[in-house]
Amino acid sequence: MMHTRQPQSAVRRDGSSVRFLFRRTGSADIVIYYVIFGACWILFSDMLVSRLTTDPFIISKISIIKGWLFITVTALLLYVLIKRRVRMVLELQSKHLAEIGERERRIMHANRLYSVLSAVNRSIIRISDQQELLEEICRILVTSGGFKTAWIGWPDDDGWIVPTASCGDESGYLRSIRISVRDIPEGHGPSGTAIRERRPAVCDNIATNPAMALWRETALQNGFASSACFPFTLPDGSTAGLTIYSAEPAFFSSDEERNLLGEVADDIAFALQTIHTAATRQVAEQRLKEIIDNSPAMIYAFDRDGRLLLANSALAALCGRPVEQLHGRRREEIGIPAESALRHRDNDLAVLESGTAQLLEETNLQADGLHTYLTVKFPLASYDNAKEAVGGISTDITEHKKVEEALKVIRNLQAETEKIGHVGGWEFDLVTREQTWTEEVYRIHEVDDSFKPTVDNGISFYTPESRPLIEEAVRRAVEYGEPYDLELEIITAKGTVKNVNVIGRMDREHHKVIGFFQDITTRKQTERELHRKNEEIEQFIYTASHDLRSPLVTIKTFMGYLEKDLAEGNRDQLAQDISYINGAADKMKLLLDELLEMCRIGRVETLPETVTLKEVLAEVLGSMSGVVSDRTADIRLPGTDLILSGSRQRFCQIWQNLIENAIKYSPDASPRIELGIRQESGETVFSVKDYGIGIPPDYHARIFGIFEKLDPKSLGAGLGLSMVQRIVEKYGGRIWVESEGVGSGSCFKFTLPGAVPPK
Amino acid sequence: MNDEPITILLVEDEPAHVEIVRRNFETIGIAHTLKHVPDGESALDYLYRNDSFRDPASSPRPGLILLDLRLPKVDGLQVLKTIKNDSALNSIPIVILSTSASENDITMAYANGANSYVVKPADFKQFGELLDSIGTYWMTWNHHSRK
Repeated sequence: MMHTRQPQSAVRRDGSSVRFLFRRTGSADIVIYYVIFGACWILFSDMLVSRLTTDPFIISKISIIKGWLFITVTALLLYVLIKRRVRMVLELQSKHLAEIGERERRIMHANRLYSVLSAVNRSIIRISDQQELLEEICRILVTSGGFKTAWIGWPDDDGWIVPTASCGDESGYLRSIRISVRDIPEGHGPSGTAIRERRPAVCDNIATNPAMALWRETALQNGFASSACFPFTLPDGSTAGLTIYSAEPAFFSSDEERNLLGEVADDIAFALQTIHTAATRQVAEQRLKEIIDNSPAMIYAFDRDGRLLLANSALAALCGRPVEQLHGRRREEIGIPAESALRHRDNDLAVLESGTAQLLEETNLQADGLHTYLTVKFPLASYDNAKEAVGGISTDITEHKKVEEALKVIRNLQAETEKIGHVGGWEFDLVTREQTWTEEVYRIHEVDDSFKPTVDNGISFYTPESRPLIEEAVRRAVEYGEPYDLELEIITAKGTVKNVNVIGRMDREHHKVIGFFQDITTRKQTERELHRKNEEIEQFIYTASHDLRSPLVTIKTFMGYLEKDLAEGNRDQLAQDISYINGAADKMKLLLDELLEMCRIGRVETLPETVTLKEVLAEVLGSMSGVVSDRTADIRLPGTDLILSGSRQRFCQIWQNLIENAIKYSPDASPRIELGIRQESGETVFSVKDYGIGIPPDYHARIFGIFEKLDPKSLGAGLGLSMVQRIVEKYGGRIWVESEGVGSGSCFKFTLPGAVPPK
Repeated sequence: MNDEPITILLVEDEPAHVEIVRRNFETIGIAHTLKHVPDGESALDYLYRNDSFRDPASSPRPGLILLDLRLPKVDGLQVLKTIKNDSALNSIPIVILSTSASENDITMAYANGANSYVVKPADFKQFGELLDSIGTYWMTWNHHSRK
């Protein structure tokens, strides 16, 4: 049965009672018993004799017998008393001697345990390996502590205690037993109890303790009389036990021994914790070292004087020498070009001055060209013996830089091509509802960089006609993933109406609609222009064929009449037939000539010449002198002159056609024709004004059409004004007519943007 | 059979073509009056009895209009539209007599209510036969509305 012994101070109290007893039960009591007995004898024996007889003789005889009897009785009394005393003294003496032996034994135990403790502490200092230390401690307990066996163990996952280190177990006792920490019969021995309950447990007598039943036989065979287990805490927080067997029963019954052995256990715990901490730190250090060494970035430290304190293998690789050879050297001594070294050191000093970490870009000229590094530099308050140092981590970002440069080039190229093609890109994030525009999209919308596009304000740029189209297209793109390609109209921030081509498609993966945005205003204008030209050409071909067919019909039919009339001898009609044929042929010729001329206008002219308006008008009027003098026309020339650049012939054609028309449609004699130049809303407007029949407003546009004639009797194929319009438009100008209507005269006006005042 | 003499209004700017029509109808032997105007404007003036066409005796309501499409001032298509949009005039049959065989012209003419579209053939014999047929059909066989 496990128990903790009562304090042993009773031993000392017993020792003092022995001395007291000696004083109390010494020789004096024997003498006192003797005196009392003798006195009583003398007093009462004579009284008895005198009562029995008065005979002196008998009295004398009795006195002699009484004397002998007294001697005999007192001798017996003394014998009894002395014997009792001697036995008592002997008993006390033997008890005292036993007590002394016990104390000596305890002192010896204590001494041995102290030396055990001391040896354990020495071994803790000396041994850094856990297993070795535990075994050494067991050994010390057996050899120095005089125990039969000592072992250290802790429970496995199932609660079975596994001995880790032991000594004195030559017989294999530990292998033959099973001890548990659980509350089962295998767990009721000192080891199981101590570890489970985390307190020292003692078995004073293995031979009698019922808890030891499982192991008694083997333990006794091994000579174990008592045992104790002292728990201690492992670094992981679990509990282990130090179990010791003694050949003496109740060896562990005293506090002192248990305390000392408890201290051994505590020391083991401390030692294991220390070993564990050291191992952990070593692992951490090793890991850190590995990280530093395997880092592709260069990690280093330099002192204020620029000497290297720390370098990792990346830096060593750059320098082409082992790390050990770098220590204490300056940058320029380890292969960094002097110029780079100087700049790097300036950066170090700047970091030391500022006292804060800095992110820098550093360059270094290496064998394969200039490398760029992204460097973090930070002050180190102290490193080894250096008072101040700078730590640094440099990552080679040369490749990134190259990619960045390439991207920049591509971005510039993109910006340029966007500008040239008026093409932009956009994307619309369905999650954030934010829009991203490229530069050109901003330019097309005529908004500045501060504009923040969203899907709503993006759509608000569309014209009311385009808005439902784009909204529907975006909706279908988002809902059904349908791509779209639309030509729409927007009104820019500055109010310009522009044609745009918007192409978009859904990017399901990124929840975005992305697309293309192109300003196609110019193309649209060109298309419209082309369309107009096509229509004009169609009209031209149509009218040409129609108008050419008409004289053909005439000729063919009258040829028929001619034959008929000849056959019938209808001479009167022959002349008429021939005249119609001639008229039609003439008309055909005129038509063909004018068509040819019309075609020429559109062609590329020879090099433009500079000609003054005066020269042009002089030439025109010179060639028209016949008609002018026939009609005695009064032609008023403009007061100012201008310089024209282009074809002299074409300029003459403009003026000649307009002046001829003016004369033709002025029925009065001596018609007045006014030629003018005026500045109207910033442009030079030329005019030919007559006071003739005028043109009803309905016809103002039609008269410029090909083959349009207001007067069926007029000569010509109706190409004159179309030709003038073509020439004016070829020079970038426009032509129109102003007339109040019939009888109010007409004023033809046109512009020629290339006209400049003479110097 | 339609026995009454009929007034034909010929709208034609080309004098030679007017002469061809005139000569053909002279020989056709059908009682009729041929009235000629050289452009679309005068055609409308005639029909609405403006200016010189005021007198119904000299400018009677035509029973047939032969209309060229390419005309000065107001073109033939416009004349056609005006007539066919006027309930007083739209019963007058209009035969388009054009040099153009363009699909567009034909479509537009019928779309605007032309009763017939014929292309002037560049052949004496054919032109003659065509005009004979027109005369026979429109002036002899066709019944005209008097409204």
